[in-house]
Amino acid sequence: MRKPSQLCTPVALAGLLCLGVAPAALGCGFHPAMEVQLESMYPGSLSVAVALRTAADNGLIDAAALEAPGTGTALYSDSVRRLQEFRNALAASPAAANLPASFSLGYVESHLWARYSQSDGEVRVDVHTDGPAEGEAVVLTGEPVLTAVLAGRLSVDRALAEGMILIDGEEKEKTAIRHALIVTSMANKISRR
Amino acid sequence: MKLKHLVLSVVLTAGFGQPVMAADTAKPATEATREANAAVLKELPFNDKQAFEDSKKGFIAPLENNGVVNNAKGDIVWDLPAFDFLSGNKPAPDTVNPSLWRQAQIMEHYTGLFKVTDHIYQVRGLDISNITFIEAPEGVIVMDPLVSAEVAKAGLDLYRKHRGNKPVVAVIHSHSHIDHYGGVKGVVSQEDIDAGKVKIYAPAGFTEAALNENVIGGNRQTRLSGYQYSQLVEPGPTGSVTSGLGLINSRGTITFAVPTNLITEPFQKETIAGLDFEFMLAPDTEAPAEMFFYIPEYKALSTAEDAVHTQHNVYSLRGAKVRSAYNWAMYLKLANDRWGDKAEVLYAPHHWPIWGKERISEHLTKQSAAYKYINDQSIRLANSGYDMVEAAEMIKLPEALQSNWGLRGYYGTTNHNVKAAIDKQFGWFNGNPATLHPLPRVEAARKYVDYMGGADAIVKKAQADYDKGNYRWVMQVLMQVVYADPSNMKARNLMADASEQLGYQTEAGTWRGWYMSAAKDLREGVKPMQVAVFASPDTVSAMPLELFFDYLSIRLNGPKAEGKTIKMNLDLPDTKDKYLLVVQYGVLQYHKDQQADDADVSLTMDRSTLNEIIGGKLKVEQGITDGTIKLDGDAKKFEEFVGLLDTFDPWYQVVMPIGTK
Repeated sequence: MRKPSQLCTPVALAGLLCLGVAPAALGCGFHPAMEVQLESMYPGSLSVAVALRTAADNGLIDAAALEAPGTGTALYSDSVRRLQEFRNALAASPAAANLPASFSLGYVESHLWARYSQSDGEVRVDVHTDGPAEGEAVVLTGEPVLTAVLAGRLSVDRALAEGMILIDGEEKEKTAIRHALIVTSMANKISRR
Repeated sequence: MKLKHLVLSVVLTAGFGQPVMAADTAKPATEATREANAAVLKELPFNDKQAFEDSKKGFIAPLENNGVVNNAKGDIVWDLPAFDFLSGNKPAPDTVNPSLWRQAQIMEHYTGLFKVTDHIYQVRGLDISNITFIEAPEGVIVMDPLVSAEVAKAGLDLYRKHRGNKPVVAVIHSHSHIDHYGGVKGVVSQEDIDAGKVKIYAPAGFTEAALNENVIGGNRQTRLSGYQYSQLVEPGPTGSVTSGLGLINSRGTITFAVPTNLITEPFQKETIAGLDFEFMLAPDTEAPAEMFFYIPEYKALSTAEDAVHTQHNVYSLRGAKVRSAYNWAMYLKLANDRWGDKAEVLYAPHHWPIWGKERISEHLTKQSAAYKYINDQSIRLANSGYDMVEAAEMIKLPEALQSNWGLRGYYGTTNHNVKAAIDKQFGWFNGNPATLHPLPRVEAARKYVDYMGGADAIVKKAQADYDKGNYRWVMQVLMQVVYADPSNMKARNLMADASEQLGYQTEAGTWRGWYMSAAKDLREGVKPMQVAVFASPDTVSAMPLELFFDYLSIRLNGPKAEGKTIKMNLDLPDTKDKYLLVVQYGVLQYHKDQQADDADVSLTMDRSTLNEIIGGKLKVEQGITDGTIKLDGDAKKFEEFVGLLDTFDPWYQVVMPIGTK
C-alpha cells in the first residue's frame, strides 16, 4: 500500500495547520510553513536527493536549479513549465497509451507534486497536488533531471541507474513510465534551457 | 516498496484559532446549579470592593482600537470585545459562579495603561498577562512582554503615546512561561540585542525551562491547554469566563530571545540602565525558573507570578511538572522578610497591584501561608494514610485564607493543589495494591458496566442522580459507560450535561474550561480546529541540541524500533558540535563529541541549516540537493530511523477512549 507522506497545499499559511492534520504536515518548498518539521516526501526520496547532488557536482545536471525554491520565484515558474512540457511530450507520444490512468511525479528538491492522468485520449497534468493517491505509481526526480532528459542530454537509463529517477509502482506501471520517459526524451522536442 | 511515513515535528507550544462551539448547544442552569451559585453570594464578602479600587487606581488611558489587535495580515490576535458580556455591573448569570464572575469582571473592566507608581507603568487587558514598563535613567526596562509580539508592541505603543519615546534598553523575564517572554520581539529587535543595545535578564535555567516544558510535552500540553484555557468554546455566560488568571491568551507571533544576563545567585544586585535592582531567585515555585525583584529607589516589589490575586497552580492541569508548594511558601516568606517592611507597591505580571506596606506584607504572609498550609496538611493527611482524593476532599484553607479574594481558586484550586502536594512528596501510589495494577480504562469500564447491570441501567440511575444535582458522581459513573461504549450517545449527552453544570458551578476558570470543553467533545465528538504552532526561528535557534535529541527520543516508537540498530553521525562544523546518535534496544541515545567509523549514515550541516529543518523552512531533501546537507552512507537507514518516529495526534481523545471517531 502506498500513500503520500505529506500533504502539500497552497493554503498552508505560516504558523497555521489545517484541520485534522498533524502538526508536522502541510507546506511544500514553495509554500514555507513555520511549523517545526522534518520530513521526507516519499520513501527513497533521500537517496534521490543524494543522487541529484552528486550529478550536479559532476556537471551532469544544472546545479543552480537545485537551489531551495520559493513561491513566485523563477525556479517555481521553471518547475511548473517543465512539468507542462513533459505533459505535452507525453501527449504527443504513442507511449502514453500504455501509461497507467494516472501517476504522480515529485521533485525532491522542492517537494512539489504533480499528477499526470489521461482520459478520452487527453493527457492532463495537475501541478501542486497533495501527492500521490493511494496505490498510484510514483516518479521521484528533480527538475534539472527532467529538463536534461527531455532535452535528450541525459539518458533515462543512466538517470535510473544512478538514482536520479526513482519509479515506484507495479512492475507493469514502472515499465510503461520508463518507456514513456525514454520515448519523450528521444523525441527531443524541448529545447535546451 | 514499503510505506515510510516520514514526518517529524516539534510543537513548541500552540494556540488555537477561533472556537467553534455554538453557544446554543449549551443547556440552562439547573435548579441545583442555581442554588449552588446563590450560596456563593452568601458565603463570600462581596461587599469588599478593594480589588475594584486597586484595579482602577492609576488609570491613564484605555486600550487603543477598543482592545483589538491585528497581525500584519490583518488577522485578529487579540479581541477584548469578545469579553463584552462581562461589562457593566451585571450580576452573575445562573450559569456562572458569582465569585468567578466577579474576578472576570475586574479583569475585563479595568484595562488600559496604568501608573503603578512613579516610573512604573502597566498595560493590562492586552493578553492573559500584564506588560510592565520600568523607567530608568538610561531608558525603559520592559518586564514580561506578554504572549505574542503583536500585543506586546501594542502595549509599548500605548505606553509611548503617553510617556514618550524612550528607548527600550532591557527586558526582564520574571520566569520561564510563555506569557512572560513570547512577545519579546514586539518590544526589542534581535539586532539591538546582538549589538548590546538591549539586555535580556532572566533567572538561571530560563532557556532550558522555557523550551523543555513546551517541547518534550508539547503535544499533550497543546491538547490540554485547549481545555484549561477554554479555547475550544466561545467566551460567554455559557462558555468561557476567562482563565481566572487573565482574560485569555493572545494568538499572535510567539518569539524568543536568549537571555544576555542571567540571575544566578540566590540574592543578586544588578544595576540596569542606571537603576539598582535586588533580585531573588525562586526556583521550582510557579515555574521551574522564576525570580522576584525589588527596586529600592521606587520602593517597588514584584514577586513575579507567585503572589497574584488567585490561588495558583501547584500543579497546572495542562500537564506541567508538579511544583513545590513548600518552595512557594518559603520564597514568599523570604521576600516578605526581606522587603515586606520596605515596599510601597507590589505589582505582578497578572492582575492588579497592591499599595502600602501593611497590605503588601499581609498579602505576602497570607499567600505564603496558603501554600504552606496546602503542603503541610496534605503531607499530614498522607502520613495518616489518606490518599490524594480523600485528602483533597478534607482540606479547606483556614477561614482567614479561605475568605481572602486573592486566594480563591480561580486558576489553581485547593483541591487539585492538595493532590499535587501529595504527588510531589509521595508519588502516585496510595499503597493499596488494588490500585497498583488495575485494569486500564476501557477494560475496567466494560467490567463495571457488566457488573452494574448494563449501560441502560446505569444511565437510568445516573439520570436520577443528575436530577438530584449529583453531577460529580454522574460524570464518574458515566465515564464507565462511555469508555465501555463511546457510541452510546445517551450516556455521552448526559455526561456532557453533568459536566456543563459543574462548569457553571465551579469557581475556577480553569476547571470551567475543562468541564465546558469536555461537554463539547462529548456532544459533538472531537472536532479539530486550526492550531497555530509557534516555532519562530529565534525559538528554534535557542533550542539546545540535546533537547532536540530528547524530543526525538520520546517520539521513537519503542516496539517498532525493537531489534533494530541504527548508528548516525551528526556533524555541525560551524558550532563544532559532533554527536553520535544510536538507536538500539528500542531507545535513541546520543553521545556528545563522538562519531562512529561504522555509522550507517553521516549527516554534516551547519547549525543554521538544522535550525531551518527544525523550523520547517527546509526539507532534508532540499538541504541535500542544494548542498547545505551532506549525507554519506545509507540514506535508507536515515529514512528507516525517521520511520520509527511517531507523529502525535494533536486532537487525541481526552474524555473518550483513544481512537474514538
